[in-house]
Amino acid sequence: MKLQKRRPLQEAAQQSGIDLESLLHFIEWQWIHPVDHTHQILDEEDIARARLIWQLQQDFGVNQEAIPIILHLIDQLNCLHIELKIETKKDSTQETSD
Amino acid sequence: MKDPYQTLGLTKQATQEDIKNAYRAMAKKYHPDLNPGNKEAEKKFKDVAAAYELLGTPESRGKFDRGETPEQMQEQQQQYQQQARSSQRTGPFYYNTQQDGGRYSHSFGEDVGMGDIFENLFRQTGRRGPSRPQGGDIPGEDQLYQMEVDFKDSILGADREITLPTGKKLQIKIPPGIDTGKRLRFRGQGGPSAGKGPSGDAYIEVTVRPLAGFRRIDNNVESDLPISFIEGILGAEVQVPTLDGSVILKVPPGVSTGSRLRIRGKGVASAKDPGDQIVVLKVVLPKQINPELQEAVRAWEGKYSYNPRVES
Repeated sequence: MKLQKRRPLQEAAQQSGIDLESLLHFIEWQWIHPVDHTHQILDEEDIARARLIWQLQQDFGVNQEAIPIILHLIDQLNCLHIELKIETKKDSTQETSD
Repeated sequence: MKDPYQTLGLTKQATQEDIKNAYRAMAKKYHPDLNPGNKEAEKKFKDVAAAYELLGTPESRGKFDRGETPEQMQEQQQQYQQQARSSQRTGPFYYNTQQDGGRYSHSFGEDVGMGDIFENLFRQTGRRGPSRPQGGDIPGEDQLYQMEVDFKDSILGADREITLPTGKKLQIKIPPGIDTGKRLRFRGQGGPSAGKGPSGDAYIEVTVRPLAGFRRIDNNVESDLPISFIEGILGAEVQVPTLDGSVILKVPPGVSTGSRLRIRGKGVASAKDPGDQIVVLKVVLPKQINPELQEAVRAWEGKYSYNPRVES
């Protein structure tokens, strides 16, 4: 698995261009789960997810109630995508060895 | 490269509201998180985002619209292309972070039993479902942090103490010659194991902070040195800053802009392959030409004039 850079909250806010208060709200509402919750440290996944939420809110005008639903669907889509890739890979390996 | 109005499917007559609506519509359609794995959509989204950055506010749009001369238009086009390339400057899209065992998608799959769904789905076709790693005394996770290093320390090496965001202090030996992107490993300083396994490792990825006036070329350090045309003709001894103090450099007569002089041992302080400082000369004329100086030059022009555009 790729090792991801970790950043304290303040630095993550700077890097993502999202204000600190909004980031704290995203954590409070459990839309993002920092990789290190105790020390409020975010990794690339957390920051990319926060940026997606920010885009949904700021650029697409999605309201607060809809955000967790969209995140749920995107996670589902990503998960299925990964599982499908694993299965396809297994299949092609089996076909090659048969 | 299209102009940003074209990218958004608009003309220059579009209102600010039209621009916003066009951006929203296209961004929704092409957003990489809504089109996982679709490279074409990702490219289109980046173009649309770069176009919106240029036209999204009356201020930025005004700047773009005002650039009417061909030079300014060319500059704008370059800026536009650069923005299109760098719209990932702030990091990867969420989708990209989930492809190689992302935490969110992984835990999502476990929470809703996605593995079971696949197990059932593929059992019907005689295939096995995906296997998930089992817990136990697995080692703690490796952790990666970032650290900025001064240019001087990256060339000469240094001992530093840093505090990780977790509060843990680490003594760091920065080796001379370290470059941006290199990682330092600290065994056992990463996350603790949930069971009885060993702790993970901490990695510190280095970013070298640039220093004005100095550049690194392999193991050498390059710097510019302005000299007067008199020093260029007569030669001189000039004080030159290096990364560990100033030295006196002998400039031989007859040097030109671009001439390179070497100061040995002032580059990367590596015992194995030490570098030098390369001083690139730049002949600078006085800002204001004194009439007396002009007169003096005119006096010897006939005797000593030469054509620098012809190889001698």
